[in-house]
Amino acid sequence: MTTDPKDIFIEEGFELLNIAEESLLDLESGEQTTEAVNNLFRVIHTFKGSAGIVGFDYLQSFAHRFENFLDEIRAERIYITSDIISLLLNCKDYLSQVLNHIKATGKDYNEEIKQKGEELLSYLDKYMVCHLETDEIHLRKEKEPEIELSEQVSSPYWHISLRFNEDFFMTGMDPYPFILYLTKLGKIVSINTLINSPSFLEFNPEKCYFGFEIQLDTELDRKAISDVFEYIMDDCSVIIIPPKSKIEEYVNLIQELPEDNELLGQILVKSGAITERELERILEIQKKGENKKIGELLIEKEKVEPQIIQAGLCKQSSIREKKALEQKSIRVDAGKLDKVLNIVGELVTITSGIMQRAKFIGDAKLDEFSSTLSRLVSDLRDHSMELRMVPIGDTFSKFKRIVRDLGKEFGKEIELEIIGGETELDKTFVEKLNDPLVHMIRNSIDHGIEKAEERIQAGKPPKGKITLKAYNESGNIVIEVTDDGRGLDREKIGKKAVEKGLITSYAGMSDQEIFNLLFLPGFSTAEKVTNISGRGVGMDVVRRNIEELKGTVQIFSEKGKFTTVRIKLPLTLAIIDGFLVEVNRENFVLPLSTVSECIDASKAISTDRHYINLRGKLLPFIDMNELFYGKKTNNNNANIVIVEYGEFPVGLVVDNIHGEIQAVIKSLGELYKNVEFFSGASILGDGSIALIVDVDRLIKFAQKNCKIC
Amino acid sequence: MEGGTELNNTKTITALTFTLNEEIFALDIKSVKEVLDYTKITKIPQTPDYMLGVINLRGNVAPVVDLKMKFNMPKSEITVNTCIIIVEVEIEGKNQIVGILADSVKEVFEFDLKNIEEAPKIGLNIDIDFILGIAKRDEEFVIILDINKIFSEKEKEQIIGTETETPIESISKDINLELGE
Repeated sequence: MTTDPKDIFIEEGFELLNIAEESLLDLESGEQTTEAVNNLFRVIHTFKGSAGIVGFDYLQSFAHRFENFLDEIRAERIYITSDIISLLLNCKDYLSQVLNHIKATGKDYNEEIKQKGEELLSYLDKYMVCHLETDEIHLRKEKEPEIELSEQVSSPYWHISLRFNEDFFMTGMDPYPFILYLTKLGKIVSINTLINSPSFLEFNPEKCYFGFEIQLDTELDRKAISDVFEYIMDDCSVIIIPPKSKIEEYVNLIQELPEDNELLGQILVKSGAITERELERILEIQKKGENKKIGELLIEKEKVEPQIIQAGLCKQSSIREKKALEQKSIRVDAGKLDKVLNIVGELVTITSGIMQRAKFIGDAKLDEFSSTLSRLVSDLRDHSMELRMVPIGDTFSKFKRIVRDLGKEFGKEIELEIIGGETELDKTFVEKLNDPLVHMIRNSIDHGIEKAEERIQAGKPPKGKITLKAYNESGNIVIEVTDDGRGLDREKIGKKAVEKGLITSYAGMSDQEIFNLLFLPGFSTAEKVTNISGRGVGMDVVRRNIEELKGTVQIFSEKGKFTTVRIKLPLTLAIIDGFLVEVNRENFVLPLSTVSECIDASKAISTDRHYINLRGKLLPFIDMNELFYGKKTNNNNANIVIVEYGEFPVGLVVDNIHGEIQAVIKSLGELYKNVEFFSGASILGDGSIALIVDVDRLIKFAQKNCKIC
Repeated sequence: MEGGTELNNTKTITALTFTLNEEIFALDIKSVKEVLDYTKITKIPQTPDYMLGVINLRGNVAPVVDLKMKFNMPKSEITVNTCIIIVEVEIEGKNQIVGILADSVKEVFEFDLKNIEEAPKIGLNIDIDFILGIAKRDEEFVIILDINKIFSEKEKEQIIGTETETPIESISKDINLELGE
C-alpha cells in the first residue's frame, strides 16, 4: 500500500473524477437530475478538499471555482444546457489532465496548464456573471514557478568550455582545426581565449597554456558537438552547457522516457542530456573513490544543470516505485476472490462430511487422510479469509499529514492520536471509510478544536488533540473520531435547524436528537463557507456512506469538552456472537452485543399494552410473534429478551431462548436485499437456517408501525 | 448471462420441463443449475407470500420463489414429487442463485424452434412478458418461460414490495465470503 499522501490523492482523484463523469453523463441523459447534481457537487467538494490537503494549491483553487459553479446549478440559479454539460466535462477532463501532470512531475501546474485553466474558468465565469456572489475565500498566494534557471545557462547558445592539457602540443595536435570545425556545426557567437601561462622563467613554449570559452549557435545536439572533440577527449577537458531552451527539452524528454531503466546515468544518456562518454568519465571518477553520487558529480564536473538531474532522479524514483509495487502486490478483481472464497466455503462443508463418514467407516488410513485434508482445508479457509482483511492503521496514519497541514492552515496546533491501528477489517470497508473519516477530521479541525488562546482560557492544553480509535466490540467494529474541542452547541444547532426549516422547534428534543440533525442534508452551522468545510455536505455524506455499509453513526458531545463521532460497522466477514431465540418455531439470531438480560414474559403476554414495569422502570417491548406473523405470543415459556437500543432498553418477546451461538453471516441475496430488519442468515448445526435480526432496524420498524408506544 | 433469450440464433432450444398445477412449463437448460428435492424453506417475515423464503444450499443461503403465486395459480400441496429447481438469473447485473418451486420435474427436451409460437395475447393468466414462447408436444402445450424477465428490474420491485429510497449498495459480495462452519 502506498502511503505517500500525494499518490493516494492521485489515485482517489481519478476515482472521484470518474464518478463526476458518470454524474455528468447522467445529467446529460436527463436521469435523476437533482441526485446527479448533488453527487457531482459532493465529488468535486471532496476533490477540492483532498487537493488542498496534499498542498496542490492551484488545483484546489480551480476545483473551488468549479465547485462554486456547481453550487449555482444546485441552487438552480443556472440552468443546465448541453453547452454547460460539455463545459463541465471539459473541466473534468482538465482536472484529469492536471492529475496526470502531477503524476509525471509532482507539480500541479505549468504555464500551459495554467493558461488552459484560465480559459475554462473564464467560460465558467461567463455563465456565472449575473450571479456573482461574494464567496471570498482565502487562497494561499500561488508560488512562483520553481524552475529558476541559473545565470550561467540563461544564454540562448551552447556554451563550450575547452581546457587543454599542458602537453597537448606534444601529441601533435592543434586546437585551431577543432574550433574551425565548430563553425561547420553552426555559428560561433563569441570566443574568449584564456591564457594561463606561468611566469616567464617557467614558460615552456612546447606546452599549451590556453583554453577557450566558446558560444555556439547551432541546431545540433550535444552528441554532435561532443563528437567534434572525440579525438582529443583524453588530452583536454570539454564542458558543454546547453542553451536555456534545451534544458526544458531534456526535462521533458526524461519524463517521457519509457520506464525500463532505473540507472540515473542511463536515463540522462537516453534523454541526450549527457553523452555516453561523459557518463563513462564520471563513472571513472566515481570509481576512483570520489564518494559522491553520480548526480552530484555530474553537476560538479560536467556542469549538467541541476534541474535535469532532478528530473532524472524523479524519473528514477518513479520507476523504482513502480517496480517495487509490481513485486509487492497483484491486483485481483474482487469478484474472482469471492468466487475462490465461495468454493473454499463449499470445500469446508464437504470436508466435514468426509470426516464424519470416515469416522463412521472406521478405516485407520482413511481417518488419517481425512484429518490431514481437514487441517489443510481449514488452513486454506483461514488464509483465504485473510486475503481481504487489512489493518485500518494504514488508513489512519494517512490522516497524520492531513491533520498537520489543516492544523497549520487554521493556525491550530493539533496532535493526532491513533489507537487500535491493528484492528483488521474488510478491504471494501476501508475504502468506503476513507471519505467519511476525512470529512469528520476536517469538521473536528475546523469546527471542533479551538484556537490556542481560546483553549488556554478554557483551561485546556494549548495543543488540540484528535483521537482515532478502532476496536472490536463483539461482532462489530467501532471507529471513533474524538476531538477535545469546544463540543457541540445544542442551542446553535437547534436554532439553525429551525432557521433552515428542518424542524419547527427544538424545545424538548434530547441532545442526541439534536445532534442527529447534523446528519440532515444541507445542514451546516458554519457561519462562513471555508474551503475546508461548511457547505453542509459533510455529515450527510458520512451517514450515507456508513449506512451503505450497514453501519450506524452516532455523535456524542459535551459542550466545551469533546465531540465524538462513533461509527459502528458490522464485521461481515467474521463470525458474530449471537443469541439464538425461537419465534413461531423459527430460529432467529440476535447479536449478543445488543442483548443485556432475559426475563419471564408472562406479565407482558397478559397485557394489551406494549410496556411493562421492570424494577420500577418503564420497559417498552415488541411482541416478535405479532410483528413477524401478526398473532400474539401465547406460550407459557415465553421470555423477554432485553436489548439495548441507543440509550434505552427494549424488550423482545420470544417463544423460547436457546442461548449463545456463533453465527456465520450469510447474505440473503439480491432478492431479499431490501428486507427491513434482517442483516443476513446463518446456518445452524443441523443445517436449518436462522435469520439474523438487525435490532436497530427492527425497533425502528416497530416504532414506525406503532408496535411499541 | 446467456439465458433463453436467443430464439433467433439457434434452431432448437433445450429446456427442462416441469409442472405447476398440471400445466407444463419449461426453462432454458442454460439457466438451470440443478434440481433439488423439496427441503424445508425458512420464511422471512414481512415479505410477500410468493417469496417462500430461503433454503440451505450446501452452506449458502438461496431464496426460493413460488411461481404459482406469481402466476395467480391456485396453491397445491407439497408431495414427494415437489422439487426446487435452482436457476441462475441476472438481477441488477449480478448473477444470483434462485430456487423455483415446482410440483414435479419431467424431462429435458429439445424443442424445435419451428414448433414454438408466440404467446397469445389473451387467454393466459401469466404476464406474456415472462413467456418466451409456447411449444406443442404430444398434444400438450408447453409454456417456455423467460426466467430473466421474471426477475427483471420491474418485477423485482414488485417482489420486494418496498420502494428504495437510496439504492443501498449490496454488500452481499462481502458477506458471501464467510465460509461454511
